[in-house]
Parts: sequence; C-alpha cells; structure tokens
Amino acid sequence: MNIKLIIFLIIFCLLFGIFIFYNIFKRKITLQYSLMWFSYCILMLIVLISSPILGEITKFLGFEVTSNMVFFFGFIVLLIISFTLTRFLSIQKEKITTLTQEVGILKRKLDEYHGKN
Amino acid sequence: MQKVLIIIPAYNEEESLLDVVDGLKTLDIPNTKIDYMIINDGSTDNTRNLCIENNLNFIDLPCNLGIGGAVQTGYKYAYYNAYDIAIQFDGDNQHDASYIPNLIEELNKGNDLVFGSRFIKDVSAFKSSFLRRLGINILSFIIKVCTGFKVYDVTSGFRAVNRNLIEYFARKYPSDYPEPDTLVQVLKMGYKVKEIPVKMRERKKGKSSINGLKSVYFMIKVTLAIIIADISTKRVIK
Repeated sequence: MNIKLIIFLIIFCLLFGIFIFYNIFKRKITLQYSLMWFSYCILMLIVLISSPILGEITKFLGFEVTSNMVFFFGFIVLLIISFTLTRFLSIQKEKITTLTQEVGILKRKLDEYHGKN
Repeated sequence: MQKVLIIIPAYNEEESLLDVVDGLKTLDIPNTKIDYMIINDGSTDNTRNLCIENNLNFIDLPCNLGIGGAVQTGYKYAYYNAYDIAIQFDGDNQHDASYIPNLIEELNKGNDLVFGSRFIKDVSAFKSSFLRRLGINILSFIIKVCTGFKVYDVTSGFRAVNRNLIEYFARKYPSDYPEPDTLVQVLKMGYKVKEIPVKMRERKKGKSSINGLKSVYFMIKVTLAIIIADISTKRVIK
C-alpha cells in the first residue's frame, strides 16, 4: 500500500477521533453511542499501522491490492454501524409512539378532571 | 350492563366527522352503554377545533402516529377504562352505524373478533374498484395459506373485539396496514373470528390512503407483514 495513502488515512482517523471526543465533551453524543465509532477508528488505525504485513493476508483472501481490502473491511464495519442505527431508530420510534399515546390519554383525563368535556 | 367503546381514528376528517358522530348517537341497544372516542391523529385541518366547539369526546394526539398508532390509542383507552367491547369505526363516514348491534351480538355469542365485510353476501352496493378487489383477494388467499382460515374483506377497518383482544391490542399493535397483520396474529392464536356482511358507503370526502402506484408498494408491504406475523406468532389450538 502506498505510504502516502497510509499517512493520509491515519491522519484522517486521528482527526475523526478528535472530532468524536469533541462531541462527547460538548455533550452532543452519549458515550454509549460514541463507542462504536471509536472502535471503528481504532480498528482502522490498527489495520493501517500493520499494513506492511497485510500484503500476505491480501493475497490469501484474494484481493488484488491491499487498499481494496482495507476499504472493504471499513465498508463492512460501516454497514454494521448503520444497521445498528436503524435498530436504535426503530426502538426509538416505538417508544415515541407509546409516549404520544399516553400523553394523548393523559390530556384527555386532565380535561375530564377539569370538567371541560 | 356491558360497556362499549367506539374508536374513531381521525386524520383531517373535519368534513365527515360530525355526520359520523350523529350516526352513532342514534344507536340504542338494551343493556349496553355505548361511548365513542375520536382519536385526533395530529390533524392539520380544523378537526381539533371542530371537536372542541361541538363538545365531542376526543383524544388529541400531540403528533401524527398513523392509523395503527391512533387506533391503538383507542384500545389503550378502552383497556384503562375497563370497556368490555371496543369497536373500530372510520372517521370518513364509510361505515354504517346501523350494523354495530350485529357486531356486538356476534361478540356476545362467544366470538373474539367480529368484522364487517363487503364481500360476503350481496348486501353492499359499493365494493370498490376491480384492482382493489383483486388485491384483497390475493391477500385473502395468502392469509388462507398462512392460517388455514378463509377471510374475505381482509382490510376492513370496521371491527369489534372483546376484552381479551382489547388487552392484547393495547399491548401490541402494528403501526401501518394493521388489519391483515392483526387478523393473522389473532387467527393463529386461536381466537374466534367472525365476518359478517355489511354495506359500506363510498367515501365522498377525502381520499383513500391507498391509491395508484402506492398500491403495488402496499401489496408487497402487506404480504411481508402477513408472512412475518405468521412466522412470529405461535399457533395455539383452542
């Protein structure tokens, strides 16, 4: 793998890591959800740093070039993360539905209590 | 004395809602107390003000949930307030209140879910378009394959359930296209389902939620929902 590409990707991962930290300190994301992105960064860094020995694995797995393999695994992890997010989203939707229903019923009870209806 | 709650989901139904409620007020069944509850599903028109001005019973949802979420709110209300029977009734004046006594009567005979059907016996003048009927026939066939029971008007939203199913629906109810989905669940769990003939009116105001290109998407989605409901519901033989 080209050394320039490796350095570029390492810098990118580090910047991304800093960006995640920044968001945690600003309380924009919770620690729980930041962990998967951290794992992503760390995984990519490990892969990039160990790229000299990746040549053999690349050949073994049948990839033409090492960079292809690196991007392929990056892609797989992103796929897992986005699926996990869809799952969270569905759970959130269900919770919001329940809350909306209960708020509606409570509003009704309150009106009944105050004799408006 | 049994308590009956009529659940009327309403999303932008300002033009038909008063007619619907007037139709229900004429109902008088011996030994039965009938209440109705409109579920205003975050309407963007004047539905909410209409309810306030006319002093109608309504639950005002803070945001739009879609038909499944709205109807489930009604089931929850029925559950919390110890109703014996809950009846779903469309807010677009498509359903005819004069059939409600028939639904209740069938429930009292020991059925768990009774629904009004356009397709059994020839009472209904309005049977909707050919393509729509074709779609419903296909869904009916899929349900027959999955559950072993033949139901005809699978998308009918005119249905009555007893206390057992009020409790079940309050806990678990699908968010979109809930009718075929819940039919499969209920049939597989061994509840008694009965389909009775009713006349339905063609909706004059407002549009069906299913039309045009959407119908293909609808068929795929409902078929999937039926299959998932079939696989994830354990069969109970009563």
